[in-house]
Amino acid sequence: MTIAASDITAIMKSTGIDPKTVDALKMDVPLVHQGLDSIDMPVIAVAVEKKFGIDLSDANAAQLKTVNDFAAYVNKILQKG
Amino acid sequence: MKINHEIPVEAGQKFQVDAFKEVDAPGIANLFYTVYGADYPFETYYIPEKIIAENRCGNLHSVVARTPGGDIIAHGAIFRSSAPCPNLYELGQYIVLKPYRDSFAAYKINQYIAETLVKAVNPEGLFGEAVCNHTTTQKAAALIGMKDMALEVALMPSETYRKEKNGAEDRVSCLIQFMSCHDKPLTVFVPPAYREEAEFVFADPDFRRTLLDSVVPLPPDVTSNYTTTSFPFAGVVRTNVATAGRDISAIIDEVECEAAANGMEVLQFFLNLAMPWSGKLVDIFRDRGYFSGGYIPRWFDTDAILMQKNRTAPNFENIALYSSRAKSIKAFVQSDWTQSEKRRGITSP
Repeated sequence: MTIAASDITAIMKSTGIDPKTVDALKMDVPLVHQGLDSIDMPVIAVAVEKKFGIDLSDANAAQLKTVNDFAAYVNKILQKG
Repeated sequence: MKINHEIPVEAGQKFQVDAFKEVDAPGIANLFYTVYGADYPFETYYIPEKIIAENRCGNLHSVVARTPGGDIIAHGAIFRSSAPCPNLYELGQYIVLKPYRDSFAAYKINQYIAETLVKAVNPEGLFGEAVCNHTTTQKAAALIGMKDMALEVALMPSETYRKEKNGAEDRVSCLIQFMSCHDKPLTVFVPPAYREEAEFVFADPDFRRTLLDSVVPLPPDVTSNYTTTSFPFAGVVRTNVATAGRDISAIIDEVECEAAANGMEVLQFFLNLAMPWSGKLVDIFRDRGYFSGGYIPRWFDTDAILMQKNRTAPNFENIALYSSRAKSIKAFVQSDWTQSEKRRGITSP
């Protein structure tokens, strides 16, 4: 199983982040440069953890800056599992 | 013994968020010293024995982010502060070591407090005072279900936040937010001047309120019951008026006189809205140049209204707010301030 960037953006919308902000995101640009903030980042990480049943350790989660980073990390974990 | 030097903590460690254990106290004191130096205004947080004592007696319930070696890299808490209701706690004392600011420690502490600590402590409610030089704290509180209630205008001196580089040029306002844990039906005697504001904030389903217009005069046979606390580092004088009688004008005179003598910037009166004469009481404050900050649920166990006055004209333009509800509250407050200035014969530039 692999996921796409669109799976991550769908999760972001489910957390209550403004859909217009999500739809305008560039997938390879840090989220904090596109209108998201330090409160949104852990919310997204926790939602991704719950959706895919994976553990984003704090050290790893803090390294995930873009939508593509999240998708790539999830795929890496899913392929290992 | 008071901590007066920094003990370095290694960056990049794993950590776990947990309720306070007494062994954490020196690490908490080190955390406060490392982040604030010797400048944090509450000495308790530098003294491990006091941190333990406050946690033991229930005045403070700390939550920490603890490394496997026992270092404390972040702290948050609920604690008894200004509210006369002993089971209404303030949410705050969030502090994170700089190398861990990119971690999710503060977020996890926030979640732990809302999901685990609240069940263990069982408070009536929580309130927070979120700074308004940025919206991050307000948003974090909203995330755990806290509702915007009132605005403390130009509450804190800008120097407090200069290190944060968050653009605090003027004094910083604070938004009072509230989480109801055990609501109960209450009758609120609403000052007619602030009926619209009361209907707005108490329309939330978290609150079961009966709003009655308060029009009766102050009783002749009641003596005021109040407490006043000064916060010299902030230039704030806060008075809780549990009961007010006809001696209230003399009490206001006394508080104002002492505040002026000490160069205080902000006067706050929290008035108990369980008094059927609260409308006439509020009129006394309005006649003296005070304006409303909003309603605070359960402050006295019953609800309160905040009446406030600033020595220097506040700058409403620099108040950053996250939610539309908070922006509506600000509109009420700013409009009332403008009217209060007109009543005093002062025209805005």
